[in-house]
Amino acid sequence: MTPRTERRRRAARLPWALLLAALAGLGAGAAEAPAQPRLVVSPEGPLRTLGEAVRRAAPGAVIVVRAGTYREPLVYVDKPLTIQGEGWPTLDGQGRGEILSVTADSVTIRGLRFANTGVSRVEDRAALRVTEVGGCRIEGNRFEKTFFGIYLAGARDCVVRGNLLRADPTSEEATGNGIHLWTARNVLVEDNIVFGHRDGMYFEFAHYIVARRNRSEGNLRYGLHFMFADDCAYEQNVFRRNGAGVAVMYTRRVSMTGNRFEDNWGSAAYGLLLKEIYDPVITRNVFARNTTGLFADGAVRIQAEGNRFVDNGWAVKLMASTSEGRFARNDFIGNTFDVSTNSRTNSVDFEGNYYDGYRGYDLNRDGVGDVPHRPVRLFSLLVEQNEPALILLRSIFIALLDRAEQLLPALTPETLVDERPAMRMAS
Amino acid sequence: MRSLRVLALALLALGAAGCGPRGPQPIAYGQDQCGYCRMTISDERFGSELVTRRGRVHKFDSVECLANYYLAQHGSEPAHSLWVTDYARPGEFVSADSAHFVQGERVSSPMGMGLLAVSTPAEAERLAREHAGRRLSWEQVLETVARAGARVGAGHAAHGPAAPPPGGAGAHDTAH
Repeated sequence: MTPRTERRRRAARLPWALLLAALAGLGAGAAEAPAQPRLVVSPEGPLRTLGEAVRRAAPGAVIVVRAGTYREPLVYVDKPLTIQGEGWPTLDGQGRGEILSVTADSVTIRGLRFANTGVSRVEDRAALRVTEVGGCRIEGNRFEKTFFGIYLAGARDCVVRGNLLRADPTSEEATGNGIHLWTARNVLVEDNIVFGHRDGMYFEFAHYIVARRNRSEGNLRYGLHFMFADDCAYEQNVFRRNGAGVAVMYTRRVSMTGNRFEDNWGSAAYGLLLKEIYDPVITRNVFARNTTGLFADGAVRIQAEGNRFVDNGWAVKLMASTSEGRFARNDFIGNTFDVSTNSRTNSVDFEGNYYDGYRGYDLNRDGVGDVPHRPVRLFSLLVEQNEPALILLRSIFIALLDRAEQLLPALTPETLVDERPAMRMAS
Repeated sequence: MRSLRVLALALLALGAAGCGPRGPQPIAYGQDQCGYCRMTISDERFGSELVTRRGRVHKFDSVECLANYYLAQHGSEPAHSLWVTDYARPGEFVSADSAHFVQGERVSSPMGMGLLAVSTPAEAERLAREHAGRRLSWEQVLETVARAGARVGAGHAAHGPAAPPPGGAGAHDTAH
C-alpha cells in the first residue's frame, strides 16, 4: 500500500468515526463523553453526595454539583478532579468541622458555596483545606460563616481567584483567617473579596506570592498579613476599615504597588505596618484617613515613591530602628502630622515630596521650593514621648514652637529635611 | 450609713487595686497589642504575660514574644512572674516555670517558631507526638529563642522551605 492510498483510506474513515462517536455520545448521554468523564451530583440522585462522586470518579474527571444543600462528613479529594458547582450548591458543615480537604495535585474547585464550619478554639478549622499539592485552582466560590476559609499548607503553583469570603464579624475572637497560606510557593491570589475575618489574607513562610485586585474589608486584625514571606508582591488591592490595613513583618523584598489603605482608625491602627523588614518597595499607593498611614519599625532600605498620604493623623511614622530609606515624589495632604519619629538621628532621605504645609517659595519657578522643608514637627516629637500632650495640638504656643523649630532645628532630626520640596502635587 | 459603707468598700477595692495585681490579667483578644512585636493579640491558644514587681502587666501574642521580651528586658525592670496560656485550654494561664513546652514545625504559633505550652507532662507528650515536635522546659525555651536571635522565627525558617536570599544579607548580618 502506498502512503498516498493509506492517507486516502484514513480520510475516508474519519467522518464515519466521528459519526459513530456522536451516536455513541447520544446513546449514553453527554455526561459520559469519553474525553472528560462527568459525574453529576444532585439532591434527586442517583448520586446524592459529593463524597460518593469523588470515590467513583476516575482521575481527571469532572464532577458537576447541582443546586441544593449537601450535608456530609469531610470529603477528601485525593485524585486530580474538577469539582464544578451549578446554581450555587451549598456544602454545609453544620458547625461540625472542615468541609473539603484536597490532597492531590491539579484539583480545581469552582462555583461552590461553603457554609458553617463552626468555630474552634483549639484547631485552625478551614472550610477548604489544601495540603502539600501543586497546581490547584480555587475559583469563584463563596464562603459564609466559615472559621478559616481557604487554607493552603505546603501548596505550590496554585491560583485562588474570584472568591467571596464573609465571616460572622459579631463574635470577636471566634474568627480565623480568610485566605491562609502557610509554607506556600508561587501562588496567585486575585480578585477575591474578604470580610470579617481575623486576617483577611495571611501569608506565612510563603514565597513568590502575588496578591492583586483583592478587597479586604472589616477584618478584625489585618487586611493582609505577611510573616516570613520573602519575595512577594501585592498590587491594586483595597484595604478598608480593618483593625489595621496591612502588616508586613520579618520579611524581605516585598513590593507594594497601587494599593489603597483606607479608614483604619484606632489606637493601634495603621494603614501599613512594617516590622523588621528589608528592602520594601512602596510605589503609587494611597493612604487615606488612617490614624497612622505608614508605620515603620525596623524597616531597612524603604523605597517609597509616588504615594499619596491624605487626611491621616500621622502620615508616616519612622521608629528609630528604621534606616537607609528614601521617600521621593510623595504627596502629603491634609495630615495632622506628615512625618514623625522617636529619634534624633535619621538615615532616611526625603526628596522632592509635596507638602501642603510647606511655607516656602519658588522664585525661579522651576517647581522646586527654594527653602528646604522639615516635615517633622517639634510637637510630634513631644507627642511621641507624651501622648496626652496631643490635647495642645491647636494651641498658639505649640504653633510658635513649631515655627521656631522650623527655623532653628534643635530637637528634630537635623538630617530629616527635604532639600527639594515640590511646589505641586505629583499626582 | 449605707452609702458610707459602699464608699468604704469602694476605697478598699481601689486600695487593693493600687497594690497591683500579682497574677495574670485577662487578655482582650482582638484588641490588646503584643508588647514585643506590636501585633494585635488574636489567637487564644498562645497569649502570654509578664507581670513586673511593680505590678505592671505586659501582654504578648506568643511564647516567643514573651521569651524575647524577657531576654531583652531582664534586669532593667524586674519580672515578678511569667504566664503562658495552656494550649489545650485556651484562656487559662499557667506559670511559665511550671508549664511544659512543645516545639514543632506543625504548630502554627503566631511568631513562627512553633512553640506551645500546656500544664501537664501528659498533654505535652501527646502534642509533641501529634505535631512531630520535641518537649522543652522554660529554660530550654529561653535558650532556643536566644539562639534564634533578633529575628523571631529564624529557627523555624532554617528548616522550612525558605531558601536563603541569593547573595543578600541575612537578618543576622544586618540586625543591630
